Parts: sequence; structure tokens; C-alpha cells
Amino acid sequence: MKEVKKILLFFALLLITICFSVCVSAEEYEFYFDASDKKEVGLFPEEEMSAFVDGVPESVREEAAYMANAASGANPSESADAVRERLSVRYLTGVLISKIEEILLPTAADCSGLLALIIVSSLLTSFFKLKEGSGMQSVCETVIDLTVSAAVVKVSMGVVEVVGAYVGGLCSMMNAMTPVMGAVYLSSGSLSQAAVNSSAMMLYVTATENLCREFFIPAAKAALALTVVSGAFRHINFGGFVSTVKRWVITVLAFGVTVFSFILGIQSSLAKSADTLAAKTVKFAVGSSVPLVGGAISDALSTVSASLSMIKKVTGGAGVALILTILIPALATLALNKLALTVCKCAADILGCERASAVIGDADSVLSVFTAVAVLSAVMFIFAVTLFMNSGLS
Amino acid sequence: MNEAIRICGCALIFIAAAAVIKETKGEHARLLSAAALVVVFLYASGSVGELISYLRGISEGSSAGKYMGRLLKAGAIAFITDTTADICRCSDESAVAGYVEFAGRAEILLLSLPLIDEMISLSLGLLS
Repeated sequence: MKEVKKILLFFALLLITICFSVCVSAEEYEFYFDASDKKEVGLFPEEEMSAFVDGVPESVREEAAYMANAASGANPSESADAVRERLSVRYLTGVLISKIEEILLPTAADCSGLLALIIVSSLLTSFFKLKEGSGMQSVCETVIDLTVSAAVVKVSMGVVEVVGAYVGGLCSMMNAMTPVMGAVYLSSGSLSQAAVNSSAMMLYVTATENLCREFFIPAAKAALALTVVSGAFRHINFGGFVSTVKRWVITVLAFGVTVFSFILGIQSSLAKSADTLAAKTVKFAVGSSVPLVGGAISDALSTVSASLSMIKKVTGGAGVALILTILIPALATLALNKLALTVCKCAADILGCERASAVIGDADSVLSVFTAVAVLSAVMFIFAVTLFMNSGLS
Repeated sequence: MNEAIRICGCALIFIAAAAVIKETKGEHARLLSAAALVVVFLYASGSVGELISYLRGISEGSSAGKYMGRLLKAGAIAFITDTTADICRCSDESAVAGYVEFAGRAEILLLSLPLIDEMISLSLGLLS
């Protein structure tokens, strides 16, 4: 048995080496040449650049355009004031608070709506339980199950759409970054070991992001749909199938994150900073609050903070602020909605609505998968941006 | 608390009166029991109505709020049908009670058809 395990481990390591090896060769690069104006010679493929710009969210583009215009104003002191105002802690805190307020009010409304439904369901259920043998009990319970399941799926749909758009946007940006990064390395003329490492790392993070968009998100959506249908119709039970789908998603996610931790340990493209007490506290908080991938993300936290420091050195506070503006809304939406569902599940347990509690609990566990995918995507995006900036500095 | 005391008081008075009348005129006792049910129901509907309007108020503006109306309608139909069936059984008319319950169930299922439709389309939207 031990020998079989050793052989399997050997083949697994061989497979990882083959899958993540990068071919390195010199080839002639065709420069983009505009025939109408023979003086211009472009170094970067136009399509990939437009795809990269299009992948950036609208709000971030507007913010970046405003800062660029403000910085290039005729009056230097006015330009400096305008840029300073946008980079001030007060302004950035105001933007983050306004984004969280936009999410908080609808989430609170959804939570109160669901709570009201649970209260009415509890009243009806307890009335018919007192009257044993009532002919209306079964049909009333059916309507209660349908209503609660429909409400839960309606509330979760909003979150699923936000996360899907968020991961899709990050994926588009990262897919667009990779060829541009390749063009930058080629145009620099030297193909060093660092460039190879960075390219491999970039390919890995982009592949993981694509895996999140193409596999994890659709699988989690399917699990949510089947969970809700099982909850609505008592005689239909997809519980076993849903558990299998969730188990597969968790297994693939755990494997991907394990490989990611292994690669982080051996690469040198993203420097690590020293552990401090504050960093360890944050690591513990992240490890316990992020579901499924919390351990791996907390291990990567020092690398994430080093990446953000590097981004700050290159682009200043504005770059970090823009990245947080992209990442925080979707993560805040997930966190607040999970909290709302937890509150509703507690209320359903207290009021004795077992079916409603089961449906809400299952939906909450599927949202945990979405949270894990969203946090993983955020970390991959930060690494991708850092690697992209490294390519310009090399 | 006053409402609860009034409801309990009314119910006890009707039951006492029904017990007295039963000895002399049994069929009138059944009518009195049915009247007691209706009066208590009308008294209780005031408090229940306030609770329902409060719950509707807090669920307004939420994406789950539109399902509240259907659930309340279904609950009201079930409650009224059940009470009517009980009155029929009290009057030894179990056949009528059965038909009343059947009509109530059909009404509730008709009410829940758009709900089933919407849930299936939401689930298919998630799967696609």
C-alpha cells in the first residue's frame, strides 16, 4: 500500500512539473506598424491593449481618467491639490463607505423581508400543528416551502450575479494582461530567469482565475439551484447530488490552493515580508473567517501585503485605492449577505421552522463556496497586477 | 392584554351558554358554538391584522417582499377554510366539511402556480 502511494505521489509530481513547465525560446516579434503614418512604430498589439482597457471597470476608468486630467492641468498647484484631495484618507474612506452603504441597505431590506416570511410561516405552521389532522396542513406546508425557497433563491440571485460579474471582470483584465506582459518582456530584449518565473506565475494565476470563472462559479450556481428545488418540493431530493457537486468543487479548490501555496513557497518573483504580531493577528482572522481556502490565503497574506507595497511604490496610493475599489464591493456584498442568511437561519431555528432553516442553511453553505472563490480571485488579481508591474520594472 | 381578555371572556360566555342550551334545545347549541367561532375570529382578526400590516411594512422594498402577499393570502384561505370545515363538523355535516376543504386546497394550489413557475425559471436561470 505504501509503495502504491509513493508511486502515485511520484506521478502526481511529474504531472505538476509537466503542466506548469513553460517553453522558453527566442522568436522574432512582429512590430505593429501603422502604414498611414510611417513614423509610428507600435510595440504592443492593439487588440490586447483594448481588451485590457475594456476589462477595467467603468468606475475605475473614470477615476483614473479624472486623476490623469487633474495631474496634467495648466496650474501645477491646482493639479497637486486636486490629486491630493483624491488620494486623501477622507475621500477614499468616503468612497468605500458610500459603496458599502449601497450594498448595506438592500441587504438589510432582504434580510427583514426573509425574517417576515419566516415569522408568518412559523405562525401558520404552529396553528396547524395545534389542530392535528387538519386537512389544510399539508397544502399550507407546501406553500410555505415554496415561498421560503423562492425568497431565498431571489435573495441569493443578486449575490450570484455580482460575484459572477466580479470574477468575469477580473478574469478579463488578467487575460488581457498576460500578452501585454509578454510583449513588454520581449521588447526589453533580455529573457532572464526572473522573467521566466514571472511569466509562469502569471500563467498560473490567470489559469486559476479562468478556472474560477469557467468551473467553480457555474458549479456553485448549479448546486444553489438544486438545493432550492430540493427545499421547495419535499418529494424531490437532490441532496445527495448537491453534496457530490459541492464535494468536487471543494476538492478541486483545495487542490488548486495547495498547488498555489507550494508555488508561492518556491518562487521568488513576489517577495515576502517579515511576520509581525499585527500580521499574525490578521492571518488568524483571515484563516478563521474565509471559508474553505482560509488557511492557504492566510499563509499567502504576507505575500499579498508585499505585493500591495510594491504596487504602492510604483503607482502610489492611488493604485492601491483603485484596486481596493474593484475588490471590496463584491467581497462586502458576499459578507453582508452571508450575515443576513445566518441571522435568518437562527430566527428559523428559534421559531421552529425546520424546513426553512434547512433551505437557508444550504444556501448559506453554497455562498461559502462563492466567498472562497471571490477571495481567491482577489488574491490572484493582486498577484497578477504585481507581476505585471514587475515586468515593466525589469 | 385587553383584547386577549375580551376574546377569552367571549369564548367562555358562549361555551357556558351553549352548555346550558344543550340540555333543552341541542340544535341551537350547535348554532351558538358556530357563532362563538365567528365572533372570536372577528375579535382576533383585529390583532392579527395589525401584525400582518407590520410584517408587510418591514418586507416592503425587499426582493422577498412580493412573496409575502401570496403567503398571507394562502394562509388566510387555509384559516377560513379550516374554520368553516370545523363549523360544518360541529353541525354533523362532515361531507360539506370535506368539500369545503377540497375547494380551499384547490384555491391555494392555484395561488401557488405562479410561484412554482417563477422558482423554476429562477433555477433554470442559475443552471444556464
